[in-house]
Amino acid sequence: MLALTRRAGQALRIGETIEVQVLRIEGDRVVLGIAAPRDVPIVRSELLAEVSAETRAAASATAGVRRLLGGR
Amino acid sequence: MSSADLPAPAASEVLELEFAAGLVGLPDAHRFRLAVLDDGPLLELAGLDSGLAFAALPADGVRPGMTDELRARGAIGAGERLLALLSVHGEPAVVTANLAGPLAVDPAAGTARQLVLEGEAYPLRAPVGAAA
Repeated sequence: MLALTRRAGQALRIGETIEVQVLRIEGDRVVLGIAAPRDVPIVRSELLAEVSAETRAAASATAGVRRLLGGR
Repeated sequence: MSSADLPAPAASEVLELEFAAGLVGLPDAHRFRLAVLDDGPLLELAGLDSGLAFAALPADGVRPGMTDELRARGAIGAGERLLALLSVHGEPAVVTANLAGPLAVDPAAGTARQLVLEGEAYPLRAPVGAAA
């Protein structure tokens, strides 16, 4: 993993089309601004993990869903 | 739900879909068959190359206008329709829809992909209400 040190207001580029800027630092939180093409998905890693877990849970929920909603 | 509500050509009630990238967390699940379940409104997404099966609803049935929102910001194409995968959570058990990871289905092309959406407007577990 590449590690770079940046201050608030400074930026870095990923390839030719993506720029990540440190907008501000608030205690232990860093606020980033990301400029990227619209077709590049940008998501928090923890959200990706949550969607993964929820998708897996859905794969075993069909019978329960049918039981709860089947009469509709 | 009538067949006209399906994210499929109006005359078709079964649709085969290819997820080129698989599903999030299930990268090897590529081929599915989408069909109406129990005469609607539920849909079933059954794996053709896996033993997976999902229940789903059109996402607009859970969050009205969601398809138009995503289309306006370029997240889905003009021919794509949105489905939300359903789960069961809580005690007493309730059905929830995953709006953070909806499926974008292109019925004409027979392709689909799972999106991951940031923002409070697209919860991971949206309660499925009577309007759905």
